[in-house]
Amino acid sequence: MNSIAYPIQMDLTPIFGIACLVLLAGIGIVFYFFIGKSEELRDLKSAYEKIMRSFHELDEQAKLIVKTDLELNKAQEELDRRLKGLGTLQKLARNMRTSLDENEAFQRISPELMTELGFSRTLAAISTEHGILLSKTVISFNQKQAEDALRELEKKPDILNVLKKGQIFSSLSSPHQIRTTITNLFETEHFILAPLLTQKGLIGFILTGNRYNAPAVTEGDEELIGILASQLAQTIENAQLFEQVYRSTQMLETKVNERTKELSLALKEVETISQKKSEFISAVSHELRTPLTSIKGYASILMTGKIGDIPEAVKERLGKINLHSDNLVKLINDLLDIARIESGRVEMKTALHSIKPMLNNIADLLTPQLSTKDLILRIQVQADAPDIEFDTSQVERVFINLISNAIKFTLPGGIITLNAIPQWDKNILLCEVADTGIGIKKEDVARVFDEFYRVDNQINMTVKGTGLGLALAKNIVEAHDGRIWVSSELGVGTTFHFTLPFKHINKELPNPS
Amino acid sequence: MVKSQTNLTHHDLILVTATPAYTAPANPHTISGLDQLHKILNPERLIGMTTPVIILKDEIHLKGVAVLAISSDEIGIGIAAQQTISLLPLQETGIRFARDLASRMSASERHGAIIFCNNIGINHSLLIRGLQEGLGRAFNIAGAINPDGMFCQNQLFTDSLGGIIFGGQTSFFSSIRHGWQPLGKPRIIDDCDSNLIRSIDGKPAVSIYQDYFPDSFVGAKSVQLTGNLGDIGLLYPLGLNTSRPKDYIIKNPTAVLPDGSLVCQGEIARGTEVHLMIGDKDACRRSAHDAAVDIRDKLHGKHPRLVFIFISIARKKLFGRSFWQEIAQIKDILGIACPIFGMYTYGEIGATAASDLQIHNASILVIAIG
Repeated sequence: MNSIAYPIQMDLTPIFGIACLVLLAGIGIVFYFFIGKSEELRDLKSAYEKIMRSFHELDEQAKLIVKTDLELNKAQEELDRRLKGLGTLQKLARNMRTSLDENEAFQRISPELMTELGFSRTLAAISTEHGILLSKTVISFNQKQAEDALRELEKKPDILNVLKKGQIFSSLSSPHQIRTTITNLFETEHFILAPLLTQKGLIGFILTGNRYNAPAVTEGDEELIGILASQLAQTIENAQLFEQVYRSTQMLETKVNERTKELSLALKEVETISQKKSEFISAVSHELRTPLTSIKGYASILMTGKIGDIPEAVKERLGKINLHSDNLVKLINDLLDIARIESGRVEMKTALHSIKPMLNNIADLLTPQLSTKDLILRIQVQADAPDIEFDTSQVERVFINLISNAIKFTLPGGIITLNAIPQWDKNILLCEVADTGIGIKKEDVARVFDEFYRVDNQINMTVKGTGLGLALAKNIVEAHDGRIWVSSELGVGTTFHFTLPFKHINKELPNPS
Repeated sequence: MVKSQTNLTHHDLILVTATPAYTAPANPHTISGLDQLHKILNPERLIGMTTPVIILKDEIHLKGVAVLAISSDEIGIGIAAQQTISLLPLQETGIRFARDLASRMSASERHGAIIFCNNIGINHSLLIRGLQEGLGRAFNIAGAINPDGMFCQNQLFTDSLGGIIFGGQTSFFSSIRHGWQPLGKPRIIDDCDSNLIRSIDGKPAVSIYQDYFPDSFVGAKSVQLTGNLGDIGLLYPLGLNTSRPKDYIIKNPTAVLPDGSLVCQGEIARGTEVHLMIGDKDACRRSAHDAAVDIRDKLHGKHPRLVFIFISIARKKLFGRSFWQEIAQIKDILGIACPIFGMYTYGEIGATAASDLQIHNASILVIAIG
């Protein structure tokens, strides 16, 4: 049987359409999701980029922080170095300041302290008057190397002239050529060369630094070494001044000693002469007094007429011999007293006395003379005047001498006043003999106490005197540790003042020296 | 002076620290000085290290020699030293050294050890790993790294490792802090080898410093830049992120290689986030305070018998003239009646709460023997 196969005829179009629709929907959905995701991705990418940007910005800020921090660290390090340097410099300065010796000042720059400042090599030198440089501090240089460098430097006026102006050279700031010259001279790569300047000018220099492979010097180092150099120069100047002052003092002392020696010798000579003079006067006076006594004795005998009558004219002459003999005896006695007091042979016999009774006695004694000239004598002893220690006979002589002078130079009707005033603050009794006499010329005031000095006036021309009374009074007052002086006004009057100490009176007479 | 203070004829340990001028190998007085110490103090053990700055209870010295004498029936002490460490495999050297040190007393007696190393250029992480293997990972280890010399008995060593082990009827506590703060964006160490950081963020490692301090690199091409970063490296160390947030281990790069790589102390892991760090004086002072408080807490109110303080030289740079303030703060908190002996260092060895035993820089390490 033949079979006929009939293909099944199906219409696939709708299925295809549906499939296409599904596919399109799928694509649409995928496309929708894809668009959505890609937006998300875009957002994510943008966020990532933003984060990365921030990250980089933060890193850039970190770089800035690091840069600042590094600078801060460097600043701190420099500050630390400077502080340490200043501390060391202070130690160095203190060490140097305590020295008044130039060499010692240089020795105080020790290797330890220079190492603390950061320098292993130091050479300090001082210049002589002839411009030769002498090494004084040598650290890490051998002596020959130092001397060679100094000799070479002496031949470098360009460097020395700049140093004279106070300029510092350093491996940090000096021009290349100079830097190389100094480096080669001192075999020191990192260096500071500072002048030692005083008021005299350049007196030397200090070079310090490190050889090679060492940290470079800084501005701070320059400043520190500059200060050190000026401190050192100051110390040297002080040491030199001290040396000068010391030498001057020594010279002065030597001169003073020499002069003192000369003066002592001269004084000794004067003393010897004075002693001889006193001895001479004493001897001559003694020798004169004996024959005078005989002359006076014989004249007296003749005048009595026991040997025979003598004519009136002879008697008159004999009277004159007697009078002149008395004057001569008084002169000789005064001379003898002065000589004795000066030579220390008279001892003041001091005892406690009241001044007033003594003055009254003197007044009684001198009443005839006062009456003759119609003079008034006033005694004014202050009520609280104490008893004081003095040699009554000697002080009496002082008063008699002074009052006699007052009588002599006061015109009739005048007043003579004796004052005794205690001065408790000075522990003295001030005695005064004041007159209303003719007064003394200014030029004579200073000399009235000189031996044999007689003021040139009308009265002295007519009235004879020895010129020894005031000299004797002065000697006696001074033997009592007192002082005598005069004040006078011509035509108004004269006052003699002298003092007697209350308590202490030298029993022994002072040595004239 | 020590003899007059202790008035003893024999001492268990003499610890010496001196500034470099006194310990230069060429200085003939160094050895004669050690001989003198032996003659006068007759110590059973003598060990010590050079330091730029000596810390004592009431004094800080930039120049000098300090001597600490210990004599005790209760405190057990042992010392060991190893020379020429840079020529030896470091981890094995660390193990051998630790075993040598441990052999000085029984395991039950041992409480802690102080390690001194005077080579700053090696990979100290390997040494530390060796030490931990030898002494145990939980064992208290603290220490200091400084250049120059190390004293052991009557010898002066260079390139060496030394240590003191403490034990007996005592306790040993240490605390280490830094206080430096991160600055700028974090970067990633993408190439490193042991203690060498080759590249950061795809650029030579030194670029982190070049970015922040362009002025310091003027005239120097990065490929020619060798030597060290000087003060910049000390004042702006690198801070490596630890597992804890806001916790960093500080590294001062000790050298820059011609290719721009940075040499550090201790190993650095690839992928570590790194920051440039900046010194905040307040935070640093606070860190000293925190270290002292930590020690006080660990002592549970007991007074320490002896305190060691090791402070990074970077902190001296940061604080300048007021560097003594940190020490004063520690003294205030620990109410010190006991001796203090310490030094400034170029590397501090210690463990923090967040990290295992490590080499730290720019940090302060306080050790108390209770």
